[in-house]
Amino acid sequence: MIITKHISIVNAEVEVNGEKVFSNTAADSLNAFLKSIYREYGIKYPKYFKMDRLSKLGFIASEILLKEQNLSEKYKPNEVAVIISNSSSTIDVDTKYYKTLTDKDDIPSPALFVYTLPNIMIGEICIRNKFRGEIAFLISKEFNAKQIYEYAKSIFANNKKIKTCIIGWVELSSDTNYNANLFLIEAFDNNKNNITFDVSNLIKKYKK
Amino acid sequence: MKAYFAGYNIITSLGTTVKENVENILQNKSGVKLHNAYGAITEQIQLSEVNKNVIFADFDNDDFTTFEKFLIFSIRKSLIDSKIKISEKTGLILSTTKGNIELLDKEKADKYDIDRINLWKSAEVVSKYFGIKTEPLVISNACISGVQAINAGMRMIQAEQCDNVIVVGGDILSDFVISGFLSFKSISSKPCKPFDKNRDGLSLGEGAATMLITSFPCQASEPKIEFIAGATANDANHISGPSRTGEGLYQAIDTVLQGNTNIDYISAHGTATPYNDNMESIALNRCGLQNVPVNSFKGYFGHTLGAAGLIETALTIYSMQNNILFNTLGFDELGTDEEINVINKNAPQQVNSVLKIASGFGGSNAALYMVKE
Repeated sequence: MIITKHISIVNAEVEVNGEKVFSNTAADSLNAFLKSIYREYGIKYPKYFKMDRLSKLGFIASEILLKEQNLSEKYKPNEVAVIISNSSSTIDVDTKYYKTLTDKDDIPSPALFVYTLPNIMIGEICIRNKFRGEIAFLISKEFNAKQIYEYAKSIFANNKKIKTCIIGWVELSSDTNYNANLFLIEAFDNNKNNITFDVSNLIKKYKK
Repeated sequence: MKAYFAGYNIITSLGTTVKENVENILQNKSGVKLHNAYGAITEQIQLSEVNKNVIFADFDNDDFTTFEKFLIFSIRKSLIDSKIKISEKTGLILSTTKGNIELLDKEKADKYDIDRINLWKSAEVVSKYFGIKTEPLVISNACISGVQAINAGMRMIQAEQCDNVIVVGGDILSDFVISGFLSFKSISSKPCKPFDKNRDGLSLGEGAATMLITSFPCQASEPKIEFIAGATANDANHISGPSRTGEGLYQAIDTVLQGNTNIDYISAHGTATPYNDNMESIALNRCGLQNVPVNSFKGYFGHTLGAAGLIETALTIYSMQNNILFNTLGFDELGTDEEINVINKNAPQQVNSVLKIASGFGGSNAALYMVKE
């Protein structure tokens, strides 16, 4: 298997295959920064604005990763797997939701509560792209290339339907503390980059 | 390598061992009880609450949170009755949705480090307690986490990454989780009624469970149960509601059974929400499994979230090893879109091959196929 594309969203910068393609240091919040990417990439998806910040970050990262990859032409819905990991799970929206419990002027909202599960981000990406393959949300202290590599490898080995996999790291603990790194893993690479899907290449490409 | 069942434990409102739970299930007892209030929740609510004193009595200090005590207690119990010894090649997998979420409460969080609320930290605490040398894997995938964690453990054995794997899962009742399900209006005012015509919502519960998986036939529990295949699939339909066509669950089952319909028993998710149970009935019909006896355990101890898949798989293994099928407590008359064969009494039955299924928020679905040798 080959890493056919890698993208990162770190420190108000977007990189694709290690090259900076967008930055916006003027944005005064993560939401504003993500919205500027949304505009830059011409994304039209009203559901985006209902998502919590973590899902927004993961969603935008997936849009950049999948741009011009024609996955829906190359693969059937049940051939695409999505495996994402992070450290803080949904602590950002957990804290927000918890405030609605303790604040006397507020009531708990299902629209907020649903985002207190990290795999909702994967659900959003699957809905957007009609992916119906394997899914997993893993939690580790830091980006654990070995663990997510082994997990993805075991999915390829056990679920014969799966032909391609989106893997990566989408972490958000505060407005300024975020990191998204997504990798597209396929059997063939039309761009002839020939970057083998293995632990050392994941570590090499991952942007802190 | 083959992945064999080697031991288990479950903690629910009906008891802290599989044996205790089975005794209560055979008497059709439910641990789902009406509470006039719970924590900060001021309204009447049906909940399945674990008798925590039994668990706390097993600890002589307060180094661990309630959630961590559930996990440690469950693993300890499972190891006592098994042939598994923790070695350099023992793996640990943790399944949970919200873990130590109660530490959002500053008073409760006070005596712990700030990172204690993280799910990876819970796994680290448990791993350290048992002296496990390998890196723990943490799966947080809503209500399919438990089944998915067993699938992952099975694959770690099959791929020879580990000699044996401890799969532990848990979730505890908290203001956070209860208020969330209340806001969704998905909690029934009565103990839940899976697959029934009059079902109108789920019952929330808490619990923990451990499943031990080994690559060594000599460590396997007798009669031997082999974990054959596991899969997950997404509906790609809605973040908080299941697919109307059961697409994801159909995909997950199709991957593990590959068209095989020669199954003795299906342990369903059966939360007793109108949508979930309908979806399962549709997916099972699409797979040609409509005549296979199917039950849900949710009427006994509610929906225990990250523990549910593990608790229910443990009872499924009990069914296989003891050739008995358990009643679907709360079920009277079928009320799903498609007909399925819901078990309505406890009865002896040869159980050799089974399917465990689960579904959850985020369009998640999981399936696990097990066979008795």
